[in-house]
Formats: sequence, structure tokens, C-alpha cells
Amino acid sequence: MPDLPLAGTFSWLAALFSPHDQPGWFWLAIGIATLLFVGVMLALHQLSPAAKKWMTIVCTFLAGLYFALEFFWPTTYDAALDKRVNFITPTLEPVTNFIAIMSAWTIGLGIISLAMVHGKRLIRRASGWHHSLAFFLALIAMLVFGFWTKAGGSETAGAAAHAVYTTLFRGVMINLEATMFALLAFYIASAAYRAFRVRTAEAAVLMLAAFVVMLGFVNFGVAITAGIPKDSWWAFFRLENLSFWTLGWLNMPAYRAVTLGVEVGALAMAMRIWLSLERGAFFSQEK
Amino acid sequence: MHKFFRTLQHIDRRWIYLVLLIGLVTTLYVGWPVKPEVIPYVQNLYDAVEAAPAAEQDRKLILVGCTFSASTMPENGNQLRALLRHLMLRGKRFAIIAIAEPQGAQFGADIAGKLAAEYGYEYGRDWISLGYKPGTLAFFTAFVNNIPGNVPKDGLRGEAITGYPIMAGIRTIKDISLVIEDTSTASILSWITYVQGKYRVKLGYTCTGVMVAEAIPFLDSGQLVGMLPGMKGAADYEKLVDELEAEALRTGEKQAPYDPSTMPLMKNSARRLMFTQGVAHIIIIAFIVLGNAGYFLSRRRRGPAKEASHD
Repeated sequence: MPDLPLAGTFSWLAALFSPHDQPGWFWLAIGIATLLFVGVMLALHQLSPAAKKWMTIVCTFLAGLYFALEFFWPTTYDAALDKRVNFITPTLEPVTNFIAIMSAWTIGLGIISLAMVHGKRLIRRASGWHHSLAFFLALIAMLVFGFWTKAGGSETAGAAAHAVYTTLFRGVMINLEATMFALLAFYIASAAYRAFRVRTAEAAVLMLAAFVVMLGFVNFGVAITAGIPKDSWWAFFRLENLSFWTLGWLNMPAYRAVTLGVEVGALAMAMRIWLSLERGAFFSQEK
Repeated sequence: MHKFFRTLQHIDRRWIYLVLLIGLVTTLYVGWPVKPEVIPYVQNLYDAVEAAPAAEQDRKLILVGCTFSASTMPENGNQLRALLRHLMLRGKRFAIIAIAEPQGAQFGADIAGKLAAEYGYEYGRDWISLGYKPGTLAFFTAFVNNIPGNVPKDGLRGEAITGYPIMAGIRTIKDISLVIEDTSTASILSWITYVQGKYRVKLGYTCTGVMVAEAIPFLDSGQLVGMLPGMKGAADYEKLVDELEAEALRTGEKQAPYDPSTMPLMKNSARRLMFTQGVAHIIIIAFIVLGNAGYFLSRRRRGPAKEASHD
């Protein structure tokens, strides 16, 4: 068990949402949690739409209030913990673990959703069914060998599972991801060639700024103006200096202005979500 | 002649791909390391690392975030390699953590493990992996308040973190002298919002090239102590660390940590890739110039009105 700062009132909460090492307690906890989850889901399913809506509103409000209070509530120094805390701080750790567990459940929901979509396509032999087959093969292979590697087993079987998993992860997945990203270089080159036509003054300014910043960051570009002495007044026109000037004096204020506007909008949106004024996916079906 | 001008404007994309491919592959094999001019952002991060207390007697650590995946390994991987070499040369203890990016934990541990073997760094005493953690607001706020409580086991061996000597006395973010986030995502905003702003911890940033513009305001405000911008940052830092290592070897302060012939990509890897990146930039700029040359020459010959109607 980790070194928990909680004591008294919240210690049970910390114990509940903390990793458990003892094998017996581990499986018992999984069983209890599964039963609890199924029970809660069944109970929620029985609720009326109005009750579900109010439950969502209350949970959203309380969750938002919790983190806002923890962040803004004045703190006092706790010598035992050697840090500043308020009355909510001790509960942060179990709440964090609870959220991590909830996030893990959402991965499960995602897998179920993907399996339903691709399963239907596979059964009906619809267009692109072979892609769905590839999805299932990849999912099952990574799951089986991933868990097998963690579980261990006999020396030979464990080593074989680890070898397969390593091949799938390092040999296939990582290389595929790197390849996909590397292809971007080619698309960007083609797109830049087609898009950068100096048809207007604005396009000319954009292209000039792009050239300056690009060239200022590579040695070939820096070499173009390397003849200008670094300590002379003309040093400003060295490409690396022009590049930093563009980033620091032109880009920065514009970016700050845009960010400020976006963040004010995000704050308003956050308030609307917190107070359930935003009609998102959950309430969109209501008349 | 007009046909030629039009051809310049409509080069088949397959030719662009081919030229770029030849440029990239050729320079990857026959390119040589460039000699970069170290930019101030990189020098500032280097100085911040030099100043950060992280020796055993300091009872503090440097925390390195590995929030990247295979797609940005050439940039983030080289940045991390140069950074960890610096830490190891200076005997600074560090922990790596991957928040919200499971691959980062693997890559970070791989790079740190290889370098540790070369530089004689012992796992658990000089460095440690805190593994992968989900990147939520809740995790950030809890992690900074209680590090061992939120990372109960290490990321490599799965053993209790409090049992490692390196974690003795490490409880909260106050025990971290410097956080350096090596990332290809917007994770730095979470560090600034929930950690740097509230706890005034020093924060460094190593990112991909496309993320540089967004970081400049935070460097200007002092919220970030320094930055390695993309491959350029990795190459600059690599140069600084190579110079440091050469000096340490020359003065006898350090023994040669490895045989360069057995690890040809370890040294100069970022500066070699910088050469390739430079060639790619030149090719892209050349095609843009060609396209525009065709456009203007065509306009001059036919007149703006005709060209506009043709487009």
C-alpha cells in the first residue's frame, strides 16, 4: 500500500481506491466491484429520463465544484505532511484513483462500440469487411499476448508470449505509426507547392514569414546570411535573427490575443457545461 | 513557352514525392552532422539544468516527462537522448514519467536504460521510471501533492517506489528541482496551469518543430525556463553536451563512457538528421518558388485578366 496522507474520516476512501497487492483481497475486490457496477447500472437503467437528467446535472455540478474549491480554497501549512493543504486536499488522491478507474471503464466501452460496428460489417460481409477482420485480429492478438506477457506462466510459454508481444508492439505498431507520420512530409511538400501562390499581398506576407522562419531554423538558411557580422547593426538581417523576431515580435502578440479570446470562450463554455446549460449529447434527444 | 510555364504550376505530385524521397534517403545515408549556432532558448534550458540541484545530498530530483510516441521519435527521442546525457554527465538524479502517452514510458525507459548502461547510472539509485499515468486534471493535482502516493510502483520492475534509495525524501513537487516536459502534445499547458502557476516549479520544454510558435509567449513570460525547439533544439543541445563531454574527458574528470564505434548513432544523431531536415526544407522551398515563377511568368505573358479567368 502506498504511503497515504489520509487518516480518520477519509481513510476508508483511500483504502478503497488504492492498489491492492494481496492475491485474495485483489480478486475479492474485483468481484465486489463488478457486482456493484452491474447493480448500479441496472438501478440507473430503471430510472426515468427526468431522474437521469437530474442525476447528470447534480453529478456534473458537484464534480466541477470539487476541483474548483480544492484549487481556490485558502490553504494552511501542515507540518506533518510538509505542505500547504485545505480541507479538501486529503481527498484528492482517492478521487484521482476513482477517476482513473472510471477512465479505464470508458476504454472498455470504446472497445465494445468498435466491436459492434466492425462485427456487424464482418457478419454481413459489407464493403470493407476485410478491414474489420484486420481490426479484430489486431485487437485480439495484442490483448492476448499483452495479458499473457503480464501473467507470466511457464518459462518457455512466457518467453514466447513476450517475444510475440514485442514483435507486435515494436516491430509492427510502432513502425506503422512512424510510417504514417513520415508520410505527412510528402503530403506537406505537395500541399505547400500547390497552396503557396502569391496571388494577393496577404499571401506574399504569409509566404515571406514562412520562408524566414523555416530558413532561420536550418543551417542552409543560416548560411545564406552568415556573411553579415554578428556584432554589426546589420546583424538584425541575419536569417536566424529575423526568424526569432518574427516569432517573438509578430507571432507572439497575435497568438496571445487569439489565445485570450479562445480561453474566455472556453471559460464561458465550461460554466455552461458545469451548470448544465449546454445542451450536448445527453440532452439533445429531449423535446 | 506558355506550356512550360503551366507545367511549372502543375507539376505532378509524384515527381515532388520522388525528389523528396531521393533527397531524404540520400542525406540520411551520406549526410554529415551540421554545426549549429546554439539559440538562446536552448542555452537557457542547458543553464537551468546546470543550476538545478539534483545530487544525492540535495535530496531533490529532476523530473522528465516523456509524452511522445513513435511518430515523433526523431525529434523527441533525440531531445531526450541529449538531455539525459547531460544529466548523467553532471551526476544529476532524475525520474522519467509518461503522462497520457503509454508509448512514452517505453521509449523513455529504453533511451534512459541504454544511456545508463554506458554512463554507469544505476536504476533506483540514480534514475527511476515512474511509468505511464493517465493524464487527467485529477492526476496532476494529486501527483504534485503526493508523488509516492500517486505512483506507488515504479514503471520498470513494478516494485514499491518508496523502497528505492532515489525516492528517499521525495514527497511533493517541492522536492523536484526542475520539470522538463518532452512532448509532442499540448501537455505543457497542463503543467503550466496546474503545476508551474500554483507551485512555482521551474519548467523546461522540449517539443516538436510545429509547436514552437505556441510556446514563445510562455518563454517570454518566464513560465518556461528554456526550450528545445524540434530537431534544431536537439541538435543545439547535442552540440553543447558533446562539448561538455569532450571537456570532461580532456580534463580527466570523466572516463570515456562508451566506445563511439559501437554506438555510431548515439553521437551526432540529431545534427545528422538536421542536415536531412535542411535538405527537405530547401526542396520544399524550391518547389514553391518554381510554382510561383510559373504563375508570374504566365501572368506576364497572358495578362492578369486572362490568367484570372483561366484559374
